[in-house]
Amino acid sequence: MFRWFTRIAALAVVLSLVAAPAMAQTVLLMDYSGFGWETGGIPHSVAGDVLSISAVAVALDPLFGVDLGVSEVTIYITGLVSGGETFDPVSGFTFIGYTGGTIEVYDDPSKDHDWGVLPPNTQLSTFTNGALLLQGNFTDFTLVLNSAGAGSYQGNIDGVGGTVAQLCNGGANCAYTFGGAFTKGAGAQLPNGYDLQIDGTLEVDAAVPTENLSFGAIKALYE
Amino acid sequence: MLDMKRIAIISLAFCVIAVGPASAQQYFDFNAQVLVPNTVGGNLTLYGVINNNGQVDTPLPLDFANFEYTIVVTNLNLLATGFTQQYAGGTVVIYEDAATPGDYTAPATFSDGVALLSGSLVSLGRTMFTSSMGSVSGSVDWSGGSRIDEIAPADRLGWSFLSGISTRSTVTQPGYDENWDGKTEPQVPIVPTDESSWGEVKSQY
Repeated sequence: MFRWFTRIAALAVVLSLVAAPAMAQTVLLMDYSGFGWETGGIPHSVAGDVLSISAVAVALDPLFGVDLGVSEVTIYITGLVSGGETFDPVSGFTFIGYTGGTIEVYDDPSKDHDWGVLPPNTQLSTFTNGALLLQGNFTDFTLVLNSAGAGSYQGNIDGVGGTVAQLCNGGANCAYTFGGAFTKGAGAQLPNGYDLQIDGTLEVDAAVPTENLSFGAIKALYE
Repeated sequence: MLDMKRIAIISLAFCVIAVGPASAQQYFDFNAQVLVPNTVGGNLTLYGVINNNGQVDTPLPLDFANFEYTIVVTNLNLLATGFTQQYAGGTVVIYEDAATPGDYTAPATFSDGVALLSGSLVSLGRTMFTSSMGSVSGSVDWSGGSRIDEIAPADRLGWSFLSGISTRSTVTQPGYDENWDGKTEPQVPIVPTDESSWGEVKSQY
């Protein structure tokens, strides 16, 4: 009797899952590191300066569909226009708000990323070659630095292109990125000409397919 | 008989042999979960995975295809609060392990295996800019571990320990306070020493 009750309860649970939409929301994570530079330099961001970042993924969710043993995943963020910095004398924090800005993420089997020196440089193309995984527009981006040059940033992204953007739910607010940002003053090693060392995470809100099973297949699980 | 000039040249050669071409970027990149103390005197604890995965050079050659590399910080003592919390005295260890993947519900899975490098977090500042976002800046001195001899004594000191902080639930595991996504890196790239026989050195001259 208890066995039959258990089976009926289990089937009820499974049926409720089957009845759910065939897509499920999940967050795909990508861990990346790289370097940033701003026209005019940082610290002391001046209104109108443009921030760019080139980075390489060191780990990522398998649902991105890239094997890092075969390809590298590179990131290029650019066009972030500084609104100037605001200094808080109480905390000693400097807040910099940016407008505009785009992100491009590439799947590149040539594995040729090279930061070089004095960006933008000829090596920048090694971050923009390959197949486009994600293209997005920033809806906001903020960078904060403390007086020692250690900071962090965050921004929200509308996905507009690339294979991963197709997983986003409508594209708006498709992705979010945050990370640490460090100047030479904070002890970061920087190639000549770069202003910031960055280490961040890209989060992509994705709708991924769930598996549909026939009722017979479900019953078979419990026989 | 070697004259003084030759001896001087050979001495210089020995110095040169210890250095060679090095990658411009070299660091241990980690992604970690952190427990933060509530009061001064408490200890901060970090469990994380080293995840360069062959994409960025590590200061020591690592075999990511066959091993997992983890980083653990313990007993990092909170000295002072403020906009930037000050810590010191912690122990940091990098482990190599092929047996048990790191599992944040079982912290011991991060501290098993072979301790490749061990040292102390001489100082660390933790700053929260908002309730969900911050950063960390600290300094590591390495002093032990099975591969410490691969780093020249002068290069073991003053490694940067830099990380972003997030408290978002998307990246912070249940039971932990924060996600730290960062790196520890030497002041200069670490290069392997190249052992040469006396004859090989002489033959270069």
